[in-house]
Formats: sequence, structure tokens, C-alpha cells
Amino acid sequence: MCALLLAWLPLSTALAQTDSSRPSVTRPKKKTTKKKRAAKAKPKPPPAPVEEPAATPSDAPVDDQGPQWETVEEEPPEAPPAKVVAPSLVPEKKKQKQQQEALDQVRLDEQVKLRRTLLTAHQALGIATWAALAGTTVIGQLELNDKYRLGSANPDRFELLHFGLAMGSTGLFAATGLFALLAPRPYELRSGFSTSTLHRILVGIATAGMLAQVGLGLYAHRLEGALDQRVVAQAHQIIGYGTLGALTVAAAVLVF
Amino acid sequence: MTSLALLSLCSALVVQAAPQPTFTLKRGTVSYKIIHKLHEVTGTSQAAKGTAKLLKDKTLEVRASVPVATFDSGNANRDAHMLEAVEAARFKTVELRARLPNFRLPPKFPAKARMKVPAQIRFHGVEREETVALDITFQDAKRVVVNATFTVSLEAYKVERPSLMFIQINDPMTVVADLHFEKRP
Repeated sequence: MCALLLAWLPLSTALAQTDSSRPSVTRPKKKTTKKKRAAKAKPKPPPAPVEEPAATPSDAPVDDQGPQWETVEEEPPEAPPAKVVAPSLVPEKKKQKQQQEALDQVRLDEQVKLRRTLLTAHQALGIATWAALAGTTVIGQLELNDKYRLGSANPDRFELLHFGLAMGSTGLFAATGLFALLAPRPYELRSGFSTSTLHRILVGIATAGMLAQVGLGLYAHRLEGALDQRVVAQAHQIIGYGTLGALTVAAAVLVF
Repeated sequence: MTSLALLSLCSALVVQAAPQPTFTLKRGTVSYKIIHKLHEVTGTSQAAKGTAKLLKDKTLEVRASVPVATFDSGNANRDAHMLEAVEAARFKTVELRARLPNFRLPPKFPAKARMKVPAQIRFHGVEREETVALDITFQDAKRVVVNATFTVSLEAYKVERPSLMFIQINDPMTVVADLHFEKRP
């Protein structure tokens, strides 16, 4: 008997294990029926609140009480978009314009001041140039008289002085012109007659005369003793008077 | 009594509604004359603008202005120099303001009057009172010709007098104006 019991125990355990592991259809049915019975016997208690925030729609509990409205604070309406031109930009532009105008005015004032300075120097140098050129012409004439007309014992006595004056007047002439050319013109000339235009034309003639004089003077000096020297010297003399005349009229058109 | 009050009210309204005579400058010539030891220069502008308004208190208010850049002396170089001297970029106009109190329109036309009036002149950024001699000619009720003459000191208006050959121009500058006004319709 004991041996039978001992033989049955492992068999029953094995059977029990086989039952629990085997999927069975009938067993759950039995459980369901038990539950149904229990439900019929006892009233269903109210469902406990389930705190499952992430419930899918299929799992979500159905509300029998209808929707529980909560007051939702409305977000304030969006402000209209800001205008493209910010009002602060307008005065800024105006300010920039005013600053630019002030800068332009300062620049203009500086140009006027520089122009006055340079043209005052131009006048002084112009007078000096005219005097030097007149002296050069007179001395040149005296030198020419000694050489070709009067037959002086010392025909070269004015040569060095004439050369020095010629160099001085040429340098002054160049400096005078440079001061005028460097003078800025802050106010544009309106069209029409202008003495300065006439002055410039005459000074242009005088400039050509000055360049010719330097060339002819040096060439005449190289022809010392040659027969051709007199011809070149006479051309030098004529152009010298012409240059002085042009420069005199150039000054006169401004003065009178 | 009521009708009298109404009448007086109506007349007062009519007086108030009556337009103040205003004359507009139709054409005008303003000239300056400067003297240098070597020559005299006259610059003229025909770009004057202005009005003359007879106010309720019988004051004639005259305003006129001329852009300095419009003066022409017949020499572009000299005009450019003038613009430098009067700083034309900064002070663009010469302005005149005058108030003539107790101004009465002439009862008959044509009519002439000669008077000297104080006027505020703004030139080169400086405002000063000058005595202006006026010759006023009413050709008819609508057309008036005003000839004005006065002298101004350039140095009083802080204008650096231009010079030529290191000789400055004379200080008093004479201004002459020939202004033709027409009544605004």
C-alpha cells in the first residue's frame, strides 16, 4: 500500500504539472462562471479611480456622466505683426541726413578756406611773377642791345642777370600756376561769361610762351658766336614780349 | 429792436468774412551794388518771392526773400566768389520783413507814396533792423509797384569782405529792389 502511495505521488505531481502548463479552454470558462456567480451575488462596487494618464482611446474608460468641462483660459490673441518701418528708424534717418549735411558743410567750409588761402598766395605770386618777367624782358632787351645794336665793349654784362631773372620768373610762374590748379572749387561756376575763363586762356598762352622762352634762350646761348644766334635771339625777344603781354592782360581781366 | 440786433450781427459777420487784401509778388528785381577801388559791381536777381498783407489792424505786413545763388553780376567767377563770401550753402536766402502800421489804401488810383520804414533783414544768418526807403505806386486797385533802396554794412552781417589785389571792397553795400505786386483774387 505504501509502495502504491509512493508510486502515485510522483505521478499525481506530474499530472498536476501537465494540467497547469497545458492551455485549456475549459478552465477559464469555469473561472468565468464563478465570477458571474459572484457578480450576481454581490452588487458591483464603484470602479476605483485609475490613475493611468497614458491610456489609449480603446482602453480609455467611458464617461457616463457626460463631459466634464473645464474652463480653459484663452490665450491672448496674437498681436498684429509689427510694421516694416519701425517708427524709430525715421528720426534715425533724419539724424543721419543732418549729420551728413553738417559734414558736407564742414567740408565745404574747409574747401572755401583752402581756396582763399591758395588764391591769395596765387595773387601775390602772380604779381611777383609779372614783376620778375618784366625785369627779365627789360634786362633781356638790354643784353640784346649790347650784342647786336650798340656794340658794347662788354656785351655779356647782362647775361648772368638775365639768366637769373629768367630762372626766377620761370619758377615763380610755375608756382603761381600750381597754387591756382590746387585750389578747390567749392561752388561750381555757372555757365556764361567768366573772367577766370579768359584769364586761364591767356595764362595758357603765357605758359606756352614761357616754355618756348626757356628753350629758345638755352638754344641761343649754345649758338654763341654763330651767325644764326641773332635770328634765334630775336625770336626769343618777340616771344618774350608776347608772353609778358599775355600775362599782363591775364591779370588785367581779373582786376578791371 | 430784434431786427436791429440782427442787422448789426449780420454786418459784423460781413466785416469778419471780408478777405484781407493780400498782394503777391509777381515779378521783381533785386540788385546789390558793391564798390571796389578798381571797379563797381552790380549783381541782380529776378527770383524774389514775397507777399504783402493788409491786416485787420491796418498794418501792412510785407515779406520777401531772394535766394543768394540767383544773383548774377555778369561774371560767373565773381558770382562764385560772392557765394563763398556769403556762405551760400549755409545761408541760402536774404529775407526782408517789414510791418507798416496805419497803412491805408489810397482812395484814388493811380497813387504814389514815399516813406521810410524799419525792416528786419536776415542776411548771412544775422538779423538786423535797417531803414528802408520805399516808393509805393498803386497803378490801380490790384497792382502795386514798390521800389526800395537801402544800404547794409557787410561787416555788420559778419560777411568777410572780398578783396582783389589785396584791396577789400567798400563796406556799405547798396541794395535796390523793384517789386511788382498784384492783388490775390
